[in-house]
Amino acid sequence: MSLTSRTVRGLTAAVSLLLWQSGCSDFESSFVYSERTQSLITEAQNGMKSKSKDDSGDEAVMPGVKKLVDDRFGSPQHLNAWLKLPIDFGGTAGTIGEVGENNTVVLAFDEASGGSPKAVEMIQILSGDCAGEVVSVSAWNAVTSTATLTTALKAAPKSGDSIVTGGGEVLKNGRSLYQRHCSHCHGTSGDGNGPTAQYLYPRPRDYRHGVFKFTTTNDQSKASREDLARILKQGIAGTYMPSFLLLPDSEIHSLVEYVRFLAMRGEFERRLVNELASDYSQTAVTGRIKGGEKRADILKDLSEFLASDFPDSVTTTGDELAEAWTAADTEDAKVIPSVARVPDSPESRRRGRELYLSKALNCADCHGIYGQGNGPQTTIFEKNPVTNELYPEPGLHDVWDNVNQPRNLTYGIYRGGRRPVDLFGRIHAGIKGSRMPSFKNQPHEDIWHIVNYVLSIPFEVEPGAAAKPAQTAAVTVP
Amino acid sequence: MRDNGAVLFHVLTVGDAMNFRFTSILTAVLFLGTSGCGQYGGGASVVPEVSFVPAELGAANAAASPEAADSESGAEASASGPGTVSGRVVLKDAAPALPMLIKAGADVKDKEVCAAVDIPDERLVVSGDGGVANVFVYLAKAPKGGKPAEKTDEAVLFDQKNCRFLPHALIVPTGRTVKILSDDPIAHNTHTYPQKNDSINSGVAPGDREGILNFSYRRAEAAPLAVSCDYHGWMKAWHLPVDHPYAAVTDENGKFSIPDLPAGTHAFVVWHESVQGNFVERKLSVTVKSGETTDVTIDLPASKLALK
Repeated sequence: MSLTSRTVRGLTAAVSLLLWQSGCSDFESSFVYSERTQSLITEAQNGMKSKSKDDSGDEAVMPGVKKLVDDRFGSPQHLNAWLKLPIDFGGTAGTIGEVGENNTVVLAFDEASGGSPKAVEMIQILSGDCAGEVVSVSAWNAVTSTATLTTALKAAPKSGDSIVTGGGEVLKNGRSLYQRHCSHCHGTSGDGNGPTAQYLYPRPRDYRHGVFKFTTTNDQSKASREDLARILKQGIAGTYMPSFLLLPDSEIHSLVEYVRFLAMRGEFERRLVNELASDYSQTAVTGRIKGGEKRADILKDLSEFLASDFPDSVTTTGDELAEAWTAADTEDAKVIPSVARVPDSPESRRRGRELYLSKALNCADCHGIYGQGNGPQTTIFEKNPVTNELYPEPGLHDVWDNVNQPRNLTYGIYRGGRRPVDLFGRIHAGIKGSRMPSFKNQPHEDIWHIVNYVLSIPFEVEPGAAAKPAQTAAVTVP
Repeated sequence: MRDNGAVLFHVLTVGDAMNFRFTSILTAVLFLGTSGCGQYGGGASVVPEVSFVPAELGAANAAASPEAADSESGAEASASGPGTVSGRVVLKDAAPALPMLIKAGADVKDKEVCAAVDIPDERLVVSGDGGVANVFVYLAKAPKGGKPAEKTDEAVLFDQKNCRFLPHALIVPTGRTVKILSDDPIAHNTHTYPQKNDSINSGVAPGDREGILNFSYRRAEAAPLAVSCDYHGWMKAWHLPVDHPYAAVTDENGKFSIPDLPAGTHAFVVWHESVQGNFVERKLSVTVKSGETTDVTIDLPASKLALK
C-alpha cells in the first residue's frame, strides 16, 4: 500500500507535534570542579565516613572538598549565599524584634540596608535555632513592622535573630545576566573555558585563582569592585573582552557581584585542595604506596586529618578569603602615586628610556630594546617553577599556564587602561598572575619618567628615537 | 502554542506538492522556534533559587570534633624535660657528578655579574663522605607540649649574589619579616610560589643591603615552596614557612640538629628537591628521651633521586 501524500503530511504533523511538545528534557546546569580537585584521591574529593556518630545516630560524614564547596556555594540553579563572604547578595537584612502571639514577629531593618521595606512576602532566618528556614509572610504591617508568618516554625525564633527578606535578588540577576553575556567565553563556572574560549587568543580569564590582572590596587591586594566594573564598562583593548557600557549600573553591579562569587568559589576550592594535595593527590598516594605505605594506612591518615585539622583549615581559608576581598575595596589597597605626574617632556622621556634600558630595571629583557615585546626572555624555554615540568612553548608563562606575551608597546594599546595613572599602577604593582613584577620600591618620579617614555613609544619616528638628543636645525645662516 | 498547532494542522492537511515543501520548512522553523527548549542549559531564562548559608557553617564541627589521638607528637608529659634529635642525611651510593651550573666567564645573561665566579648546581649538593645538604627536616605540625616559635622582631634575611640566592634552603617562622637583599648591581626580581600564602613578585633594587623589599608568610606550608627570579631563570631557592621552631636544614655535611623537643615519639618530614616525589620520608618516627640526644641517620638511595 502506498502512502498517499496526505497521509505522509498527516504523519509528519503528528510526529512534529509530539517532538515539539516534549521539548528537550529538563537540564540542570552544574559547576565544574577544577582539574586540581579531580587530581585528589576520591576519598579526599568526596569525603569519608567518620567513626563517631552524629546527633541523629547516623555515621557522621566528614565532607571532602566537593561537599565543602557545594555547601557554601551551591549549584548554578540553586545558589547558596554564604554570609561570610563580602558579596552583596541583595535583599534587606534585619533582625527579629519582639516575638508576639499568633505567629507574629516584629522585625527591625537597618537603615543602611534600605530601611523597612514596603512589602515583605517571605523572610529567611539566618541565625538562632531556626537558621536556614524560609517562612512566607501572610500579612505585613509596615507601620508597626509586624509580620504575620504563615507556618509555625520548628523552633521558636528569638529576639535578635538575624533575617533577610527579598534576599538573593542581586545574585539571581547576576546569574541570569552572566549566562546571557559572559558564560559563552568565561564558562558557567567562570573557568575561562566556555564554548567560544577555544577560538580566542588571549584566552578569557579563569576566575578561579581569584586573580585579576588589570587593577588599581597594589601588588598584594585583590581586584576591587571598581576595577571589575571598569573592566566591564571599558572592556579590555586588544582582546576579545568587549565593553558593556550600555548596561545600566544596576546590571553592572549584579554582574560584578556574581563574578566575585565565582572567583571566591574557585579560590575557596583551590585553597582547600592545597591543604590536601601534597599528601593526598593521586600522584602523591601512588608515590607513597610505591615507597612502602599501605593504602589502608594512608586512608586512616586522611580520616584523622579530615576529622581533626581540616575543619580548622576550612574555617581559616574562609576567613582569609573574606578578609582579602574586603580589604581590596579599601583606600589602603589602592596604588596612589606620592607625586603628581612629571610633565611629559623630551628630558623626561629620555630619563624614562634610560631607566627602561638600565641594568637596574632591564625592562628591555622582556619588552625588547625598542619596546616591541620581543626581548630575550621571550625565546627561553622555562620550567613550571612548581612542578618543574618544561613548558612546550618558549617564553615566560603566567599563573594560568598561558604564554605571557610581554606587551608590544609600539601599538599604544594598553590592556589595563591608557590613562597615565593606569600605566603607573601597572609598573608599581606589576600585573597579578603574570610575570610582570611590581616595582613598588622605585621612586615615584622615576616611574612617571618611564610612563612618559612608554606613552611616547608609539609616536617615535624611529625606534629608540627618544634616546637621541634633540636635533637642531641644520641650516646655518650665512 | 495552540494557534500554531491549529495552523500547522490546517496547512498540512490541505494542499499539494508545493505546499508540502513549504510546510516542511514551516514545521522545522516552528518546531525550533517554539519548542520547549527554553530551559536548555539552565540559560538566562531560568531564575535560580538562592538560599542563605550562615557564616559559621562548619565551625561548629571544628569545635565539637575530638582532637586526633596524636600519639605521634609528644604525648608524654613535658614535665620530663626536652631532648634533641640530631643526625645526618646520607647518600648511600655514589653521587652523580653535577657540572657547574654556570662556569666563570660563560656567555650568559648579565655575564659580568652572573658569570663572574663559578656557580654550583645546587639541586644536589653532596659532601665528600656522602652527606646531603639542603634537606629540610621538620615536624608537620607543632607538637603537644612543645615551645612556641621565638618571638622576635628580627627579620630573616634572604640575599642574592652573583645571581645566586643565599641561602638555597631557608626556614622562615610564620609572621617574621623576610627581607630581600641584593648584592648585585643588576635587576633581579623575587617571585615566590606558595600554596597557602600569598605569592610575591617584586623587583629588587640593585645593591640593596637593607631589604626595602620585605614580606612575611602568614601560614605554615606542608612542604617547601619554590622561589625564583624571572630575569635569571636558573636562580632557584626554597622557603619553608613553619609555625613552630622544630625545623632544620642540613648543612654542607648533611648534618642537622633540632633541640628542645618534648620527650616522646615524633614524626618528621624529610624533604629534598631532587628526590622522586620530593619526600624522602613523610613520617620518620623518632623517639626523643628527656635530656638525651637521639641520633638518626637518614639514608637516601641514589635510585630515589630525580634531577629535574
